[in-house]
Amino acid sequence: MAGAKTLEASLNRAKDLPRGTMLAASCTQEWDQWQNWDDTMSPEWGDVRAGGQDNW
Amino acid sequence: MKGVNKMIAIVKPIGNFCNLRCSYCFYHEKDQGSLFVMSDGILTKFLSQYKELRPEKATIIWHGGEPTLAGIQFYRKAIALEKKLWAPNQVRNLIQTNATTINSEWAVFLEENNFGVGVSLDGCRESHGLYRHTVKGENSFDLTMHGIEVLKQAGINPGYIQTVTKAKLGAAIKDFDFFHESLEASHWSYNVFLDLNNGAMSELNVSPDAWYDYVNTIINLWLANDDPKLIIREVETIVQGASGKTCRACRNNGSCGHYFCLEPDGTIYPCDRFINKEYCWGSLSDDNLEIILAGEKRRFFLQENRKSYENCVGCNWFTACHNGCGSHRVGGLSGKFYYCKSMKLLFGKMAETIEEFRSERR
Repeated sequence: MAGAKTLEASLNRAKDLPRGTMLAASCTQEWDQWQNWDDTMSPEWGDVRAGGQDNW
Repeated sequence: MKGVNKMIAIVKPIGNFCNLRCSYCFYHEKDQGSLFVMSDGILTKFLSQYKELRPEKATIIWHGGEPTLAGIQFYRKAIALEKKLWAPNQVRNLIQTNATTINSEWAVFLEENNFGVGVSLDGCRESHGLYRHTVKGENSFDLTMHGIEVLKQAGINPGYIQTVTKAKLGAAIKDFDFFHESLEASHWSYNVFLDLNNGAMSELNVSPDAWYDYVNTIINLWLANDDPKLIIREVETIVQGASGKTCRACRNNGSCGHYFCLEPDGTIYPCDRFINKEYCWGSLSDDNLEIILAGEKRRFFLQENRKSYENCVGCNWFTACHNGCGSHRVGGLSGKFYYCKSMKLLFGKMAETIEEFRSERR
């Protein structure tokens, strides 16, 4: 299919991310992704991924 | 409070101050008459208290206005302090700039200190010049492109953020080609323009249908190019969400309220989209950072954010979306995501594409 290489690369980049939080948990808990949190899950400004990452 | 020791800092050493007058900017109508730089006292207090919260791994995003207007000496001081407080490679510094002030001294400094650099660039000359103007009202494209060139010469490959307004919707293909082919960029992102307060620029708002069409066009171009190294934040987000993963982008992963934004006077807010008295969490002039972040005002913000999830009952894409960006909700933080419909369609369509891909591999 068209885009197979780029889609595969994107899925590979996503493969170590945690599963999404279900609605019930999100409404009642403080934010249960904390155990999985790392600094690559950044706010939009954190998406400036140039430089620095390799040494992180 | 859980998670305080993992919070990312957005630091605005000169607040809203900027050398450009981009007509769509949410700071455009704010005071641009005087430059107030964060004092050494606030900077030192912030870094030493942030180190207490995050002793081994910290992320600081330097933001504005135009953050380089604080002057390179400000950043030399900040980096020297960071080096005293943290061990090597424990702090990740990022800076978002319009690049118009970047010269070789800046570029070398940023490269030597391992900064991630994001440049605000709206696309080709014509697209960029629609709203990103100098004080004289001229297109800032050449100034920004010069800065990018200087950054590249110093070995920095910046990321790019482009703002999409209603006026720019028709340039999706042209601007994609500009970034991918002319600029040879490997990663960029799109900020959709939306002013829900009926401000002077709300006529530039992008409707949900138009945003769906725009992002869908970008996804199709991304697939057609089939370049595995090309990373577009909005596309990545949709792939992450559609494949059942937590999205990296704050607007879709439910982490609203898990950052803090420091203004030059020491006041602290949830995000630079929420800089107003109602959302002020406190000030470093009065309190310790940890006390502010664990305080009632932040707790209230988090509650309001969670309350907004009541709009998502029954939605299959909640885990991928979390009711979107808090500043894009109709009626305020607890309201419904303006682009709910667009994102549902985009996640659904991408899920079908992923299924097709996987079935071909079986």
